[in-house]
Amino acid sequence: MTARLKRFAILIALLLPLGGCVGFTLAKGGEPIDMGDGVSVQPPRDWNRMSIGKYEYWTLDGLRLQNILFVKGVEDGENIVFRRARNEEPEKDTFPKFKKGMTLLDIRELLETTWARQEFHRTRVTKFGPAKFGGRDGFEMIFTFDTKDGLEMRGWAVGAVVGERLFMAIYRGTRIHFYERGEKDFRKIIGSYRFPARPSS
Amino acid sequence: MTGAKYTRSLTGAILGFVLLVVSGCQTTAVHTRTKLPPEPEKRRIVLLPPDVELSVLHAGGTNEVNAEWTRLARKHLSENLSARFKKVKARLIERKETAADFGNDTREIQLLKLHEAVGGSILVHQRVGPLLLPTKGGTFDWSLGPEAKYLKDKYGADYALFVFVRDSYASSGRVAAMIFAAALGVGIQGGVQVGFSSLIDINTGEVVWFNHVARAQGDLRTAEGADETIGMLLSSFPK
Amino acid sequence: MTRRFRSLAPILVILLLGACAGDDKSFYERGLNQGAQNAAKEGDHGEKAAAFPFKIGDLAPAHRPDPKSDEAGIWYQVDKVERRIKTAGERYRHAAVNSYIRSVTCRVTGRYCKDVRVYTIRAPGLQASMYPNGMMHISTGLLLRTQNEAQLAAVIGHETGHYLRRHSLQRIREIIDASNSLFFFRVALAGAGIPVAGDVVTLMAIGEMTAYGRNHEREADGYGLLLMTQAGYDPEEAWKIWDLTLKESKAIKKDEERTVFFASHPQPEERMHEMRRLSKTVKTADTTDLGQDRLQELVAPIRADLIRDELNLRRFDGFEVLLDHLIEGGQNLAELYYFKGEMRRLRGKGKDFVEALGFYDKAATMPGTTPPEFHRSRGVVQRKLGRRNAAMASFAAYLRANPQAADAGIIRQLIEEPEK
Repeated sequence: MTARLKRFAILIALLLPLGGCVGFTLAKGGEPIDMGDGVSVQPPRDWNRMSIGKYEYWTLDGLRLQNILFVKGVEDGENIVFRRARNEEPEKDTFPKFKKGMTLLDIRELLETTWARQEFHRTRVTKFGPAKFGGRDGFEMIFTFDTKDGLEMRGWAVGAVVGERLFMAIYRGTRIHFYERGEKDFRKIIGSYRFPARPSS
Repeated sequence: MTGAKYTRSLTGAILGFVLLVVSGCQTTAVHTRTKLPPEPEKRRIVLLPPDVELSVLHAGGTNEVNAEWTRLARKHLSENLSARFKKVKARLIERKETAADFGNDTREIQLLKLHEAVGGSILVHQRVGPLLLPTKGGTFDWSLGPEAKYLKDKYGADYALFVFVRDSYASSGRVAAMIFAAALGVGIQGGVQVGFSSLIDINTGEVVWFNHVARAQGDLRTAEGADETIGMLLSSFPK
Repeated sequence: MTRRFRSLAPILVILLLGACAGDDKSFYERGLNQGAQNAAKEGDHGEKAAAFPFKIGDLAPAHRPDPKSDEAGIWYQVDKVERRIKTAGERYRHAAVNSYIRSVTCRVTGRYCKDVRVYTIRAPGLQASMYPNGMMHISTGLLLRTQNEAQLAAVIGHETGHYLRRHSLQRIREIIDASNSLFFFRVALAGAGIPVAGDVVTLMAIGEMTAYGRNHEREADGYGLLLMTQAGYDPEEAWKIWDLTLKESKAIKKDEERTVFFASHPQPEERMHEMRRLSKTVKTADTTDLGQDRLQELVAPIRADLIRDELNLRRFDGFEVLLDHLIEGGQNLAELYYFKGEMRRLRGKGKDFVEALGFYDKAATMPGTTPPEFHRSRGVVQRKLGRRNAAMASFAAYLRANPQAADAGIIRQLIEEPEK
């Protein structure tokens, strides 16, 4: 309990100093949502959405219970971890970085290593194969893991490299109850994910 | 910088909360049920291990847990809860530390961990702070899911009650520091009290009642103080 | 012995305050000689111990503090940490490893066996910490670095020394005092706002950093030597852990990290020197157990995973030092040369890809077995170097060896990729 509460509070206070207080906005169900860069999705029902730079967190019930992390166009030499300010947590400089020539194998390694550094444990990939994402050739990964506190989680990630940038949608939720609550929605949301018609592919 | 670094500690986290709520008395209960079922055999509540800590807030800002106070507070909490439930003819089952705490019952362990996550989510995403979820709005709709039924057979209860309290008291050094700081025009937080409690319907996993307290007063070290705090915490508890 | 680098600003200030505590080399011998002052107490390991002139008798077993004391509050929080770690995700769930660690701990701690509970945490790096209630955390990274059971015993004995001398408790009290005086300093500087710790885990981490801790470390070293020797292990193995730590940390280029780490521990050169000297004085004909085979047999099947954890940190210079240390040990060289290749594949600078292939080739000729991903890694590097046919052959070999691989689909796609 203490650790969880602490993390929430840290999350709150980290976001507090941001001018205007970044919080969640409503992503209305049945309507197209502009994710920037010409990308849009359509959630089947209302979701909560928090957008910070290249990263978006969507949730129904709370980030610790289930969330979709959208990674929108990470570039060559960048890691895939949201960081509020350049000088915050410098050890994130040694997190593995996306490189533009990466194969899907490399991307899987990028994900698994990043998660290990973020102290997720016992990550087990049960499926990893080619799949379409937003109409482009990409990958799909099904996995399970435990949080640092030992709560069992399930995950489903999809992604693709477009225009030498990495785009992903990663859905994670507690094994008990909350992953299931959002699973169908996630399927529809990534089904509706659209890149703009080939500009600089 | 101060804001971000300050919350490396739970004290900081608690103070973070307090800064967010209006100073003074603040409690808001929320529930989907105002009454427990009338049949006595359906009014069995298992009390999950209450997470209570009372600490001394030192001049330097460190929080040191005082075991004797904590022991007293848990005792008052227990007695107070038992008395209240007797009044409404509900039976409180106290869950002793079991083998599950040692990792032997993984199903129960997962449910308890999930409950902690849900309780924290309710607090942070529906009750206080800048992370409120727009979809939650006015409706209170939280559940652990049907898996919660596993606890029903294990404890012979229909409901599970969980109580979390953090309470700190300014040491005399801290009080002196507050005076010293005031002389320099700097405001320093005194002790604070933060708590929440939730009641789960084990048959469905639904959270039927949730309440939280966040304020700068309150004293759980005495029976009267405990009574007052628990009164606030359990206000509008289903009858 | 933990390395935990939290927010540095408050720590540096505490360091400045703590610097007044003073450095005292006699603390090594104090650990060893403590028992001589309690000569009346009986030996801790039966007849074997009776042969030693030094004895331990500081803390009665199963000590619990007076509930009204400040110590009790700290124990309460530490007990909560223990309850959490039992089912935490980071706890290493490997029955054979845990049971082995328990038995070594029991042997080292002697009559305090019931008081000391060790939890293995899945984490890279050499980490070991002792909490005031007898709970010990060691990292899987420690198992990777100890060449034999005697070295493991040295570390466990060292941590037990902290427990017997109640160092953790003293440190926490020290931090509270330091932060109290610090507070007035801060307020006077209006706006300096350096908050310090709230919970016991952060207090512990900061406690590691004070200069007061340096004498604690020396004392614990002395106790470590004594305990391991009484258990029959060869004390001349103890200093070798510090030899590796020194080499690894020299490779870690970040100056800031180095400074803070060494501020909390006596300089490794000093430790190595003192421990080598003292180990000769306690060693006898009966204290020769190394337990090399036992430890290596246990670690062999999990070693690739643990090496991977280290590689995840992406600290390549330190990683290579560790690999070279393991190569000296001579176990499963094929696996170790594979990882020499892996680090170059991941670093990918300059000649790295070419050198990586060289190491993969070497690994194939070495005794031992490479991990299942061997051919895949080789194929990836060959592909990056444009050696398409070689890459296809490697990927095909991977599929033959791992027909049920989760990434078989991706590999097939790479094989069928049209030439660009």
